[in-house]
Amino acid sequence: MTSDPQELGQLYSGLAHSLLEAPADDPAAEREYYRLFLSPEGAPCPPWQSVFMAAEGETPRLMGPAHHSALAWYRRYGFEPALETEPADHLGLLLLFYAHLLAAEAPEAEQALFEVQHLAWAPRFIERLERNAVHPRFVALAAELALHL
Amino acid sequence: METYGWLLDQKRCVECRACETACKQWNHVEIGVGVRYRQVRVYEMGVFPQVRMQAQSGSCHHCENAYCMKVCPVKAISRSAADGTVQIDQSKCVGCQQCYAFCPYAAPQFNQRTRKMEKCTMCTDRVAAGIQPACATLCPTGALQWGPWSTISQMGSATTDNFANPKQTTPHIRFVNEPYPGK
Amino acid sequence: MALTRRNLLKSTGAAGAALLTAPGALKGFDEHFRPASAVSAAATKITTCCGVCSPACGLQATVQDGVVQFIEGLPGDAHGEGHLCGKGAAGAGFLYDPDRLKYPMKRTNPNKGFEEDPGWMRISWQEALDTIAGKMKGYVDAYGAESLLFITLPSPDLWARFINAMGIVNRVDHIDVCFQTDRVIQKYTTGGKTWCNDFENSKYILLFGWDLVTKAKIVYANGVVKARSNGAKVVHFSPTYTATSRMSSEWQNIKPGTDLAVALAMINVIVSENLYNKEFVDAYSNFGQYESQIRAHFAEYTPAWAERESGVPAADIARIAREFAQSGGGIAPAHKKTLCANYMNASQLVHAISILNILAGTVDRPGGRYFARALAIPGVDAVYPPPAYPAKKGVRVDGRDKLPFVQETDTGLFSTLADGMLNKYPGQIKMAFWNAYTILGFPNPPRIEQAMKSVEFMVAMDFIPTDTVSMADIVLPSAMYLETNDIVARDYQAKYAQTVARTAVAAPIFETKTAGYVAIELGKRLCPDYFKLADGSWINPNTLLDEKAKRAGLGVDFNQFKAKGMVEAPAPFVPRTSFATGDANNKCQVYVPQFAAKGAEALPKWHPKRDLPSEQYPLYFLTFIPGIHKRNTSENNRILNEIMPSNAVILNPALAKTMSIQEGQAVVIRSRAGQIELPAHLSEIIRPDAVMVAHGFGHRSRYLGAAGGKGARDGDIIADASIDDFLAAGNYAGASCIMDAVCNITPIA
Repeated sequence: MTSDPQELGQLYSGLAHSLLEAPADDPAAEREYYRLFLSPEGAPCPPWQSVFMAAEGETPRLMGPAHHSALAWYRRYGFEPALETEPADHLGLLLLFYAHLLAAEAPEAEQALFEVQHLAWAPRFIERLERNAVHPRFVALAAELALHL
Repeated sequence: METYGWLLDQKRCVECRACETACKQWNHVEIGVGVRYRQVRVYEMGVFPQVRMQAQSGSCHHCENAYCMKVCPVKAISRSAADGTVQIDQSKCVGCQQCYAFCPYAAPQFNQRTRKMEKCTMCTDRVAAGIQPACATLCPTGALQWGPWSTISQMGSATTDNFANPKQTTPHIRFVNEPYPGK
Repeated sequence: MALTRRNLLKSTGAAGAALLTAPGALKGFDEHFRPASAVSAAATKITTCCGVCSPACGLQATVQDGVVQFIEGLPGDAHGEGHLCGKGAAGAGFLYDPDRLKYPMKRTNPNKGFEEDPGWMRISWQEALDTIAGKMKGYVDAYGAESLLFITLPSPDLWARFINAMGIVNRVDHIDVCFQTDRVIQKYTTGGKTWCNDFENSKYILLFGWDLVTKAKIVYANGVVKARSNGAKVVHFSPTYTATSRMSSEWQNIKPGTDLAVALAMINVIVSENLYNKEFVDAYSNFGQYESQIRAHFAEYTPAWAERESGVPAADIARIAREFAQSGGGIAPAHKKTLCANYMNASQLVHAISILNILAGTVDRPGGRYFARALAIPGVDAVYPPPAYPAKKGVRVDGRDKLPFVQETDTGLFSTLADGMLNKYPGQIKMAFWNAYTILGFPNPPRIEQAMKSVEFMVAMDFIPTDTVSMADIVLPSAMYLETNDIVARDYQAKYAQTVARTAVAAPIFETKTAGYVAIELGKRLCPDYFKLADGSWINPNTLLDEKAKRAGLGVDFNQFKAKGMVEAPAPFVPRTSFATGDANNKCQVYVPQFAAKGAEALPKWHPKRDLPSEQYPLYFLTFIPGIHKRNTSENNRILNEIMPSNAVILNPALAKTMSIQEGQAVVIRSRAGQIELPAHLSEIIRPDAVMVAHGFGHRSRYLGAAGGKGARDGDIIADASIDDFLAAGNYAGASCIMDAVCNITPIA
C-alpha cells in the first residue's frame, strides 16, 4: 500500500471517477451503473448523501445540510462543483475533493474533519453496493471502496 | 420583560395546517423522527348526526408555571431571561421524557434519532428580528394570532373544549370561543 | 472507518501544510470542479407563485445560496391574501424531494410490470426527443394522428400549439376535465366562466356537497370565514360532517347523490312562490320567455318529493329556499367542474345551481358568482400567429364526440378512456404521452393500466417516479413550479386585474426541463412550420415571455415585470348587463334551447346517481381529498407525508358495531369494480349507510420513498364508464362518476 500523498490522491480520485461516470466501454456495465446509482425508480445505492440518507430513513431532502456543508468545504479551497444544478454531496464529488485534500497535503485536522463530516456515511453506502452489485466491475468497485474507506 | 403568547380563534381554523408546515420549515425540524413542534388536532364530539368538530392548533405554550422545567432531572429546560420563553438545552437533555410525561399539552417530543427532547421555541430568532413566529405568519384565516402577552392575556377565554385546565400551568394561549354573528 | 489515508499519516506524519487553492493536479479534477465564484451569503426574498393548486397564490421564497429556506405568503395577493396553506408552505418538500426524477431515461427491458427491472439507461435530452419524435412520426404516418394519446396535467399554450399542429384528437387534460361540466353549463346559462365567488358580500351561501373549506384553497376558505364574520348564513349539504360543515351555519346530512333533488325542489319553491329576484330575472334572463315551460317543469319537484329522495326534511328545503331567495345576496357556488357532489347526475346539478344563482339575481352582482376581471395574457398563438391548423380528424377513443357540448369545448373524458381503448377501439392508440399525471387520477386504475399495456410506446414526464413512470419507455424529468418563469393572472378572486410573476427561485435541478421546452423541441422535429418564426429562428420561450409581458402592459420585458413582482389595476366593479349565452337578447338562460336542440335537457331533470345501494352492495362509497394533500401528487412530499402518511376506511361506529369492527381493524371493501383493504377508522362524521376513503394514496411505485406502498387506492372501488353509460344517464356535459360507487365491507379477523 502506497504512502505517497500524490499516489494516494490518485487512488481516491480513481474511485471517485468510478462513481461519477458511467462506464463507456461496456454496455452491461453501463446498464449496471444506471441501475445501481441513477434509476429513476429508486436506485438501490443513490450516490448523493441526502438521497442515500433518505433511503436510510434520515434527512429526506435534496440540497439539505450535507449539500451546504460540502459546498462550503469546496469553496474554502477555492472550488465549486462544475454543475451548479446538482447537489454537492455526491459521494464521487466528495471522494474527488478528498483526494485533492490528500494530494494537496492539506492539514491532517482538515482531512480528518472532512472525513467525519462527509465520509461517515460511506461504509453504509459500500455495504449497500456490496449487497446490490451484480456486474463484476461493480463488485470489484465495492471491494475496493471497502478496502480504502 | 415583554413576554408573548397566542390567541386561537378556532371557528376560523380551516385545518389547512399552514402553521404546522411553516414551523417545520422555519425551524428545520427533522422529518420522520416523531417531532412536530406544532400540531393541529381535530376532536370529534357527539353522535351522528348531532356531531361537532373542533380544530385545535397547539404547541408548547411557554407556561408561566412550566411543569417541564420542574421535573427535568438535569435542568436542561430553562426560561429565557430575554422573552420568558421556555427552552430545552440540547447539550444537557438526556432524553428521559419526564417533561413529556408531565406536560399537559404533549409539547416536548422525543427525537427518535438524536434521542433528545425538542419542542416549539416560539421562533425566538424571528421574534428577535421583529417578526412573528412562522405559525402565526402563515395562518391564512387569522385563526392563530400572536402578540405581547400583556395584550393577548386580556383577550378571549383562558380555556376551550379538549384543553387541559390552564390553572395548572398558566399557558400563554387564549381562545376566542364566541360564535359567528347572526344565525 | 479504516481509511488508507490514516496509515499514511501515521507513517509520514504529514501535517500542517498550507491550504492549497491551486487548480487540482489530480487527473479529472477539473471535469467536476471549477474555480469558486463569488457567492453572496445574504438571503434574498423572491416573489413568485405557488403551483400546488390552480389559484397559484402569490408567495415569497427566502433563498440562500440558491436553495429555498422558507416559503411564505405575498402581501397584497388577491388569492392567498398574504398567506399560504399547509401545502403551499411545504413547497420545499416538492422541490427537494430526494426521489425527484433527475435525467432522461430509456427502458431497455421491453417487459413491463411492477416486478420487472426496466433496465433504465440514462440518455441525453437530444436522444430522448429524437426517439419520441421518431416514434410519433412513424405512428402518424402509418396510422394517423388518431393513434396518439396525450394525458396531461398542465396545458401551457405551447403544448396546445403542438397538439393542434399535429392534429392530435385524443387528449385528456386535467384542466379541461376539471372545468368541463361547469364550462358547458356556464357557456349556455351565464355566458362564460362565472367562477369567482364574492363570498364576502354574500348573504346566503348554499354549498351542495362542495367541501371547499376542507380543501384549504385559501381564497375559498377565507371567503367563507369572511362571509360568516359578516353575518352571512352558510348551508352545507353533505353526507359527511367536515370542516366546511363546522364552519357553516347549518349542515344538512344529505343522502349521497341527491343534491340534485334538493336543488330542483328549491327552484320549485322559489318559482312557485315567486320569490325570485324579479328585477334581475326579468331584465337579464330568459325566464319570462319560457315561463310556462319552466313553471310546469319544476312543478313535480316538490320539497316533499325531494325529502323522499334526499332525506332532507321538506320543511327545511322550503325554508332554505325562501331564506336564500329573500336574503338579497344568495350564492350557490359551483367548483370549476362538478362540486364535491361529483356524481353522474352533476350535469343537471350544475345547471340547477346556475338557475338558483340566476333566480337569486346575483350573477355578476355583489355577493354572487362573477366573471373574473383578469388581465388577458396573450398566448403564443396571439404573439406568433401560427399557420392554419389542420382539421382534427379521427376517432376520439374516449367517445367525447358523442357528447356535442363536450366536443365543442374540445375536452376529453377520464372516465371513458379505458373503455374506449380496450373495448370500443382496441389497438387504435399506439403511443401515449403522460405529463404530470398518474393512473391514480382515473376511476378504476387497473383498467387504465391494462389499457396502457396495450400501447406500444409510452412516455412519462413527471417530477417523481409515479406509477405511470414505472410503465414508460422513456422518462422525462420535469422542472417544478418553483423552477420556472411565467405570468400568472389572478382569476379566482378578481374584481379587478392583478397579475403576479412566477419567477424561478433556482435553476431547474439536475437535467429537469419544462413541458414548454418539450413542446418546442418536438415541434421543431415534427411540425417545424408552427415553431419557426418569420425570421427563420425557432420560438424561444424566454423571448415569448418577454413579448407576453410587453403586450399585456406588464413591463418592457419579463425581467421588468419580474422586478415588480405584482402588477394590479384597481378599478370599480361594473356589473355585466349583457350575457353571451347564445340568447338573441344576450340574457342569462334558465331554459337552454340549445341543449334541447341537440337532444339534451333544456331544463334540469331528476336522474338518480349511477349506482344505488343494493343487497350485494348496501353502502355508499365516498371519497374526499384531505386538506393537507393535493389530489394524488403530494403524498411523497415528506413534510406533508409526515402529517398524513396513509388512508383508512372511515365508517360510523354504529355501522362498525353491527359488524363487530374495531378501530384499526383491517377491512376489505368490495364493489363491482374491485376491492381494497384498509384499516378501519371509526368516526361520527359519516352516515351509517356510507363509508369514506381519502383519495391520493395507494401509490404502488415502491420507488416513491415516502408514499410508495402506503394505503389503498379509492379508485379501485369506483367503476369507470363507457360513453354509452354517459348517454343513457343523460350526462350531456360529461360529469365524471367519481362519487357514484356502492360497496360492501368485510372485516378481517
